[in-house]
Amino acid sequence: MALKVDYVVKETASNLRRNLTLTFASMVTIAIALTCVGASLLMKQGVARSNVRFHGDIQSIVYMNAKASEDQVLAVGRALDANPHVQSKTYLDHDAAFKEFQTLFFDQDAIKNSLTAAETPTSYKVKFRGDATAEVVGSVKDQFSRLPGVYSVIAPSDQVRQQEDSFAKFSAWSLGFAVIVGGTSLVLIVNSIRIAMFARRREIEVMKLVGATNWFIRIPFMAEGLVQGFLGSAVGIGIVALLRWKLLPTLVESGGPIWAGFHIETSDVRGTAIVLVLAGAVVGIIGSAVAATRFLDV
Amino acid sequence: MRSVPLRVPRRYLCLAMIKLENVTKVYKGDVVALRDANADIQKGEFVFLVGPSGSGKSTMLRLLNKEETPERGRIFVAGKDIGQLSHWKVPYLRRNIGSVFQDFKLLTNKNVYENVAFALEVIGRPKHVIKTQVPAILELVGLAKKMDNLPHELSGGEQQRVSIARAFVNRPLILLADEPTGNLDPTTSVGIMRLLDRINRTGTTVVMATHDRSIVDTMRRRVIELDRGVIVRDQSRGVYE
Repeated sequence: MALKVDYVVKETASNLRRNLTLTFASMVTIAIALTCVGASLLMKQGVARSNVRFHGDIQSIVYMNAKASEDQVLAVGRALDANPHVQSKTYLDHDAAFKEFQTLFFDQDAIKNSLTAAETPTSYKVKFRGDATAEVVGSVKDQFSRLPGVYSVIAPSDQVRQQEDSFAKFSAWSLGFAVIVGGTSLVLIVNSIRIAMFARRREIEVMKLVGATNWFIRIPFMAEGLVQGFLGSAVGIGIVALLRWKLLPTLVESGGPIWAGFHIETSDVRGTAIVLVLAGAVVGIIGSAVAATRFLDV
Repeated sequence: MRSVPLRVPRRYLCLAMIKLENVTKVYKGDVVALRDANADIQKGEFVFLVGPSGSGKSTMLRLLNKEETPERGRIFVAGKDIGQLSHWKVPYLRRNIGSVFQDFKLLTNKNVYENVAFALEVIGRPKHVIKTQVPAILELVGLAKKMDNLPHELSGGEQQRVSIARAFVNRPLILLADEPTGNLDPTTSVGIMRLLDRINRTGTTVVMATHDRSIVDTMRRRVIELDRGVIVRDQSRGVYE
């Protein structure tokens, strides 16, 4: 039997109007759930992008002991040259290291004057190749820390790992929360459709008696769930966009090293928006289909 | 080219419009609403179902349009064993059966025209068909001038006429009426019965459950009497007793 579009539109609009408060509640819960999903997805993409940036620009510093012999310094240099992950190295001798030290602590006289050029440890500034991961950098750090004459090795692997861990935790919590709120929104949709069906039980009874098919009765209610899902996803996308363009720049600017390199492209937001619209539609359709099937027997 | 004869299993064939074969319906708590009921109702017959409250009249009507399913026995409607009908085919069965109720079951937010049109709209009839059939049926039931009225603006008799118009607008083979005059005064009831009789004369089989002795005694049509779920009398041109 042909189901007319104008009939579905008319019935769906009438259901939504009658059920305004529940429609609003369902929409808000879907929006919250989808905001969590969206934030989590964008977080993953932001971390991936920041890792890419780290991978392409990872620098490490191998500090030598101030009293390290020339042979020890040369041996470290040779080992760095032999390492396949190292792209280039720059050696800072006592004078260059002292100069850099003076520059770094130009406003702190007590520290600046605590060392002479001869006492300043020499160092190698190491640049890794683009495919070097946090794990590789970590293993290189371990390897060079054990070499004779090396005082310490500073590598960003810990920072990368810390950032990855923090964002992974945030993502997991966000997704967990999204699942809970998503479940709640499903229940709310089921409930709102159930109430809509209860309000129209007489009409449904007549429809069944005169021979309307279950699908004919069900589709306007499913469309109602779909609209709730779409409205929720639209609000969710709005909140996610707000987070991206209003909150994120502030966080990256003032959030410390953990946010260093964190970046979300407009295309990431667009992709996430599509996922959220689909998720909203799925939640709306499933919720209303469950309710319509369960409460259709008159 | 040789035509292939349509072979229908003999057990599914039935020539009566309605046929009940040893039908038993039991509700929860072992309440037997109908016990071993047998009846043949031919096309174009007008049948009264009589008996005290709880005797099984409404159950029989509900079984005929498959609102209920019997525990035992078989029911044939328009030659088809409705027990064999799959769930999705039930709406198509109901399009051949009009139903009229004591409480009219009209939609209060729709006017007379919309109430009747609704029955055609939900089975997917095109708009131009609705526009011609609804005024015609409203003319038949005498409500052509009240198309725009809401149900609460009508008398009980008029509301029942709308209900009959809605049941008959699709020209069903069978009309089931469950105490259609139960809420009406005697004069109005006569008008409703005249209308049902007129519909019956178009060839529609009418099965009507009633407590109204005077109507049954006046019309002298076939009477099936039920008592505690058992058919105790099946009499052509019968009276209420």
